[in-house]
Amino acid sequence: MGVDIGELLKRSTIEVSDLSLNVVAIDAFNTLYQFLSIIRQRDGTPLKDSQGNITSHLSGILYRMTNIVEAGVKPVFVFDGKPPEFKYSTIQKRTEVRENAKAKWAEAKEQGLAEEAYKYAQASARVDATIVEDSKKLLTAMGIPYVDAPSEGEAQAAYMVKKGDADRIASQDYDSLLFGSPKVVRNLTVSGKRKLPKKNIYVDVKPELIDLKENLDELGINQSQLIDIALCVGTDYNDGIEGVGPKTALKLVKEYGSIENILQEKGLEIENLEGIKEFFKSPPVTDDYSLKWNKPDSSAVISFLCGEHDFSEDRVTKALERLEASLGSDQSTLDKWF
Amino acid sequence: MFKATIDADILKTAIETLSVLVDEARFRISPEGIVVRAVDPANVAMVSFDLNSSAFDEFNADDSEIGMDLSKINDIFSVAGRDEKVVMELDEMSQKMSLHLGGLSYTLALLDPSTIRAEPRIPQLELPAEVVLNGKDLQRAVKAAEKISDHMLLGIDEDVFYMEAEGDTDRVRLDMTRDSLIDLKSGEARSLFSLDYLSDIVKPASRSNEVTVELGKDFPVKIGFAIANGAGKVGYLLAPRIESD
Repeated sequence: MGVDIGELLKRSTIEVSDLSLNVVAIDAFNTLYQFLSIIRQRDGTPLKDSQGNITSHLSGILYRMTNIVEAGVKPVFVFDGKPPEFKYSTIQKRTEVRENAKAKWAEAKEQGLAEEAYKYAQASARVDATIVEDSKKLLTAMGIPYVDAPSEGEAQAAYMVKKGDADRIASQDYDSLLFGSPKVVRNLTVSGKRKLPKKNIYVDVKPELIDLKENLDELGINQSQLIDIALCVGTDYNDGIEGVGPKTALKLVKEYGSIENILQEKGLEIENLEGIKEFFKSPPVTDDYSLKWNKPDSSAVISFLCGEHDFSEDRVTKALERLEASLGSDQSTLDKWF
Repeated sequence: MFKATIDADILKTAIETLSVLVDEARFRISPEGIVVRAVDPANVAMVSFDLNSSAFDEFNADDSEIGMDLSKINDIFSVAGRDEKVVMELDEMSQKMSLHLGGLSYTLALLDPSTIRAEPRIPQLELPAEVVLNGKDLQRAVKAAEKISDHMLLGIDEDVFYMEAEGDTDRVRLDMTRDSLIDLKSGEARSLFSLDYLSDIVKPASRSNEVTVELGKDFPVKIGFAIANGAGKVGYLLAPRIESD
């Protein structure tokens, strides 16, 4: 998912508390996908209520958001809208991968291969319309705002950061850098102990901050060339040049100056190249949002999570108490007066 | 180098002005005295603290910065008798402070200042109104308000400084006219404050006969007073609560 340029980028490890008082635009689809793939039982079965509805995402939103809100972060979820037309082949491919994984998961479970089962179960995670609707409902009840992007959520989030309405983007993908977000935080919503794939080892995952300008300077390229590198490697909208990884792409872009020159030199073509470049540079975004953090509506959260989805009322109430202490207080802070 | 002698009582009350907001603080020491700027963890209130070298019987210092756990210091002073002197000496090598007090010798491990929250910037605020009053009057109003609410209005209505609290069913108000105040500079002022913070701040302020309160409309309040018999000063800045409609 997203562009695979991570190995080129420098990052610094931070604490969640370093983001205190920051408005963090959270890539909603990316985050919900993380919740769905990580928050699972040992054999890979996601959390479910008694009706069989998946609840991993709801658990993630309640507990993990409460943790980061408690650390002083002001989160806003940014949901994807209509994907650009050139993304459809990617979407189709993802669906195939997922269906495939689902079949293999069932197979592995039957054969009692727990590790395999978990792996395929993760790959079959899917953010569907019900999951989005339920997530929005829970966020509203918790007092956390969300924004509906006209197109890609990361593009909207990057716009909000550039405009000054948000301070950081939280996503596991690097795409928001392509959309020009100055600061991207990874691992924010998945920090804590995490199991390494295929190994029985747990590592402590900490949030990391990627600074766009620092990285561009370090790599000796400009924003447009970063997009060109991504196009060489392959993005959600194109396949990339065969056999070209991030390091080769960097070399090529530095040598030839732009993707157009590289393609010409190699006698290659990228479908919709102009359209995709334009999309990264000025994607559809909206100003139609309001960022307001409210006091959680505890009874709404409890009736939704405990009434409809069998969450433990005791645990939900405790999380709500913590959330209430941090969110929607009418106490202003001194930062407002600088 | 830092070595100083001071009345235990003066130091104790001075430290209390900090410990009502923070548990740890960075002390900037120079030949002129000791300066602390600290902000509470929630960023709602800050304190600026200046204790001149003249507050001390003896004061020898180079420029340095140390971090101290205030609750430990308060513990030490809880056993101090009246009119006792405390002698403080910094051992820079071991980063320990020794305190001699009424025959007791404490060695206090210091905190690495870099692990304590950085000094806040001080907002430049033009506050239109100002009253000067006895700290006891301020504390009396806050105590009355605490009985019925968790927040309190401070405001000025022409020649009257008022402090008002409203609970679910009850209301309490203290009006102070010009003649019961030490000074009044009238201006548009009305802001709501959390009593959690206000009561902490007025506790040390209540010892002062002359507390200056600067106010604006939905603006932070500045509360300032002298410490150490005039050889130091403390100023608080408290962010307002937003009045819900």
